[in-house]
Amino acid sequence: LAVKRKKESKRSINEEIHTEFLDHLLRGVEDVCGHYGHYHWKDKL
Amino acid sequence: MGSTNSTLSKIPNVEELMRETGFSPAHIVRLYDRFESLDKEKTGHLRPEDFGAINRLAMNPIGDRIIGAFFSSGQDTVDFHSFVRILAHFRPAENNRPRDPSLPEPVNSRISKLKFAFQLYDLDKDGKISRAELLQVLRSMMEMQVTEEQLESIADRTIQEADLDRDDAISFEEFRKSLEKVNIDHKMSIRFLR
Repeated sequence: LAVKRKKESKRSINEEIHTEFLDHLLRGVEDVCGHYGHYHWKDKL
Repeated sequence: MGSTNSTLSKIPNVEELMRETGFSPAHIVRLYDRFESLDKEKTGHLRPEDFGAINRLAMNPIGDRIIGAFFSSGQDTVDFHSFVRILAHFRPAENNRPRDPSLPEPVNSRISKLKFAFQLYDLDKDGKISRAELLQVLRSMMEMQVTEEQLESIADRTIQEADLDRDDAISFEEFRKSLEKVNIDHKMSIRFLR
């Protein structure tokens, strides 16, 4: 996560907040589909 | 998958559903299997509790909002067709396919995806993300990491940054503009539905 923050440090507050929101959204929808995608493994790291 | 056709034959108007959502027969079968496994009572409908039974979703900071998105207002059940139509927002957009302007906006376009996300913030459906609505989202995502005063200051800065018409709220247009540089198709597409 620290790596991610560094790389994206130039983002606006809106980009920061909404992309975090979209990450949760995509994870949630993947869980509805029963699909363990990219986000599932990212969580395990 | 040999059972594809037998599953498809169980779904009424499946051709129309595929045309409308762009899902392939394999996608539909996969989603149908999932729908059936969530439909524990075998009623052909899902209730909010059926979604609540998905563990990881129950732990998701915006899980309630995601579940709410499957239920149109006043409804407390969702059938397979509506389930698939909601998930169609998360189908990756087709590249380079010129769009017939006479057709309605596809449900998986950038703008449709953004509208879907915006509505999850805009709980009172007045077309704006108010300071209170933004605070609710921030509180659920950052719970325990920050104080209430810090949350309020983040909310104020977020609105100031996006709020072009100075009405102290974020309209859809302002939301869209603030995310111009973000690859929404990437952020809002489930790869296995490609």
